[in-house]
Amino acid sequence: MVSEFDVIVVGGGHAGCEAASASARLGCSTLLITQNPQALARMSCNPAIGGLAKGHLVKEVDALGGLMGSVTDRTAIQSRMLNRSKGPAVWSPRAQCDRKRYSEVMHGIISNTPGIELRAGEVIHIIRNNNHIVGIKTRSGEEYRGKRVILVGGTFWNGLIHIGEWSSPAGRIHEEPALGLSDDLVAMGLRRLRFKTGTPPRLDGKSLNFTLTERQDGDPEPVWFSDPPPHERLPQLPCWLTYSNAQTHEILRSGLDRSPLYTGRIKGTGPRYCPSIEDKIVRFAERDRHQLFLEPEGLDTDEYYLNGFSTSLPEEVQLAALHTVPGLENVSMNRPGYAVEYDVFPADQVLPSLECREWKNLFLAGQILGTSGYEEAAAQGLMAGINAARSLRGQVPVVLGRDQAYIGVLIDDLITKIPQEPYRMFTSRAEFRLLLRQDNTLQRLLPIIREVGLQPPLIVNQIEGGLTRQSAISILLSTERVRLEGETISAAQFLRRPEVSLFDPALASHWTLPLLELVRQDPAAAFRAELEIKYEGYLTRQLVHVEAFRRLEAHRLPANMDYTVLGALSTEARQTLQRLHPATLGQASRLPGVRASDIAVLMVLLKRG
Amino acid sequence: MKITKSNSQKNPPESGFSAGETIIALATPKGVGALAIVRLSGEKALDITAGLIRQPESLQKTEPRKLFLAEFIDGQGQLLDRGMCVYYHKPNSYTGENAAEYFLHGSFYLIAKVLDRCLELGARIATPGEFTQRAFLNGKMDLAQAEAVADLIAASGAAAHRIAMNQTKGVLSRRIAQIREQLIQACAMIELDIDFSDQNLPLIDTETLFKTITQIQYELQLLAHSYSRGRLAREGAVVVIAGAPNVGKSTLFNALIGEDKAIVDPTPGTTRDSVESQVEWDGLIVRLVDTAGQAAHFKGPDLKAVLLAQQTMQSADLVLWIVDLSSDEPPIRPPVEFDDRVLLIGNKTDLEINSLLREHPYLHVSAKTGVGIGELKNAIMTRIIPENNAEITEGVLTRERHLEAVQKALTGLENGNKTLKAGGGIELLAEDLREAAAELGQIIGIVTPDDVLNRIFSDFCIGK
Repeated sequence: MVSEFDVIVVGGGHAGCEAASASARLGCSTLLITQNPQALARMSCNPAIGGLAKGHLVKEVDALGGLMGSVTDRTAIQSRMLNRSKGPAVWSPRAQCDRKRYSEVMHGIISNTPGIELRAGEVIHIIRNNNHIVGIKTRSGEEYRGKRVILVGGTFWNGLIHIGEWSSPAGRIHEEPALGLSDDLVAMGLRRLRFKTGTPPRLDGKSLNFTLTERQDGDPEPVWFSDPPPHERLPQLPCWLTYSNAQTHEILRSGLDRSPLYTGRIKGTGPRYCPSIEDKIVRFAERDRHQLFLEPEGLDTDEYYLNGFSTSLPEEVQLAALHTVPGLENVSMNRPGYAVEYDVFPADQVLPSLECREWKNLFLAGQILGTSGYEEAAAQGLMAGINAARSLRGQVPVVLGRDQAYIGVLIDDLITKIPQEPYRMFTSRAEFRLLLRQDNTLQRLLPIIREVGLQPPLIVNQIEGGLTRQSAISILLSTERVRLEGETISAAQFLRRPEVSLFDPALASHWTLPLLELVRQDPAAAFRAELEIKYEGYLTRQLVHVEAFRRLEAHRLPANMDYTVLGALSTEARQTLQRLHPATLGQASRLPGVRASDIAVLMVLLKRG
Repeated sequence: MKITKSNSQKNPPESGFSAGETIIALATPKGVGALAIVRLSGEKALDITAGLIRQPESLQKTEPRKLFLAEFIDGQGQLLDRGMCVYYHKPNSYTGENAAEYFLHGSFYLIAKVLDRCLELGARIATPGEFTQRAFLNGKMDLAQAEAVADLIAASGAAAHRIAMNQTKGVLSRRIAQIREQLIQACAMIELDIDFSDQNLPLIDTETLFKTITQIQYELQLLAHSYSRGRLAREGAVVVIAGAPNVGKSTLFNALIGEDKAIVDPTPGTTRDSVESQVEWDGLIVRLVDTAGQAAHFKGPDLKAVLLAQQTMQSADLVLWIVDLSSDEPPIRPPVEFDDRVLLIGNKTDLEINSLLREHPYLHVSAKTGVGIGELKNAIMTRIIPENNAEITEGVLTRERHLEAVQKALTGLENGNKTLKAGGGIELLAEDLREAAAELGQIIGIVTPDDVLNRIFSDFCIGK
């Protein structure tokens, strides 16, 4: 007998869990099939969530009804707001999590979600009929029918692990790779690339001498990703900072002739923003030390993650190098660092909804689309789950704009820029950074939250309430007057001064009681109102740019346009446009090889109708 | 996106962007001449040429971009002319399309016949500027270069020609690109500080940042400053001759242009309307304007003429204020508002000079005898081109559009500096610099948001 589902999610990582949860909660019978159901949302690398720009993604995932934010909050063992010394637009939350608990909590949520069926299996084949897909087949021969299939392979597709001159097929160390599915997609006509990423050694905490390192604690107050946050948090642990030195580098250098990166064993492209330690000492030879963080892996383990020491050098070289690092003189490794190569399918093969261009009902998400990072994966998984469910119901997909969310920037970048290395989110990728803040995530996403429908009405009401209080505060600020020595100015003008804040108790006498009461009731709304006054000039300018951006986005390009006959386009643009058929002129303008002159041509054509 | 300003918006040629459209035009001035060049561009340029010449096989035998002799024939095979022909394969032509040029004898009748024949074969007459427009649309040149082609064609002085020539070669674009590159370097420093602040990177060095921004500001100011020179070269300098009635303005005007264009009459007030003439001095076009005499007591039509004269002075790069040195009356002063661009001229040195005026700092000339005219020309040139002429060649702004973008970029940098001084966050400075970079990108028509990240990845050791 063949089981039948609305949606089948193949893969149980961060993207897979979000996809399955969203689809099931939107009413679709959902199969989540993965090689090891006990390893849901397992953090392959650093047991940390968030960080610069990634923290924004997590808050957006949470706002739209995803899981990552609340699982992080429930399992965090250290949380911090990064960039606090800078303006609030670039603040970003980050949390160190308990790796085991994270996976367990996620497992609990998935298991208790009505509509999700969790099964073990290695999917090796997509069952298809003409140009649409109808189901999947596992290595052991089971077949499942699915109206929609979401593939989230992580680093498992044809995963190959390297340590020095040793290599072995694996998705994570000691975990079987997924073979077959990637080849099946190639047989279906999809294009594939090979990427590489790496991870540092895990250390035995009992062998570490922390007195030689610097202690780093989290923020005293909890920093939350989810709204509403949990009532309590786990006990908090510090991280520890130490440094490599000339001797460390000398030993690492001596192993380069056996480094798979330098001997050419690794063919995949790695991320430039996350270089291995051997890469760092080669490319930045002038630096005599590099920062290394000892990050706890959890409350019930002595294991430490050595952030900054990603490597695929031979195990004995890794160990010898570590022994030169202060605090690590007697360290023993639980696991060496390693590099992993895996298959990716460049994202220009999917639509903004994450559905395949050529294969209806098939969705791709996560690392297989060329990203790195749990957060980027979760964001895509969530959108794929939402859009698979919507397409089943005959609804138009939810596609976030670059002016609305980091998720919008992420997916648009993937589709239009076709990253040639693992893609990671940075705040500098967002041209409307001042508008896409972490503090206003819920407010700016409110229309989307309503549209998606994963948040209960209560939450939506709360967001609306917050917006109302924010406007009330803004109105009071613009109408109330503040008397200072010799002059009377509006409260807003007063607040614009860099040293003035609504939250400064010393200045409380300057505000009226109704205003103070509102600030007390809803500090978050007051914070946003204050920020918008302080940033006003910049926000206004950014909104002007948003208008210009939207105008270009509003020029829709006909889906059936034949670019091959447009001789006036550059050859490269013609090919790219024909292959990708961007939905809008704005999207076209971001495609590689499409020049300003090509956009001019298209504008003229559109104008003429 | 400034591309909306391209000609294509104003005058979209019919189906000018479909591959089949081939355009044709006479490239040399209309009229009888020794030679005339007809230019053809578009997908069918070669087919049409094959139909127009008696030896179509020459197109196979001769390499592209090499002249060959051809017999041009009409539809009945009658010989129209014997001339030269050259063809180009896309994209290696001016427009980036297939193209051909015919060098014919310059008979009006003959050209008409050749054009007719090409129209029969499927070409259509090009709209003004369409060849350059296609070159732009096909990415053969950026907007600054395309604009320069128009300037090159219109260039009437050697300096204007030099600038336009350089611009078509992309000198301005390169200069802008260099400045933009520095800006991106500064952006990278800031973005590094924002996006990688959790890493052990050297803290942002505010002093270096200030220095870089100041340097960029300086370069942009130079560039903005070059606009006046660029415009001067492109449009010519306006030199207005003004002063009281009957001080010899028109005589001087004639002396300067070397021909009797202004009416010279001893009756005061002969020149009611402004009279204009162009001369080329040292490669620069100078537009000399003679105006009506100005006196405080004028009424009616005379007053109107005075007002007109003052209006003309407003648009002047330089005002030559003429005083009659032989007159006993106290000379009238030019209006104060022109102080920064006035050259005081004492005329009529051929007569007896009023001793009271001897000591005044007038440049002495005799418009009538020509004594001092050479010195006057030099003085004019020195005033309108403050710097060395040679500098004009290295990428100057000639367009309002460029100036506007450069000024916006400068505003962005100034805002940024203000923000930094007021203790605002560097994320705000980043916005200002991003805007400045985008403005500069618009001059050369590029916008690449990834530049900054690429810079970061190549220059800094990042990654935990």
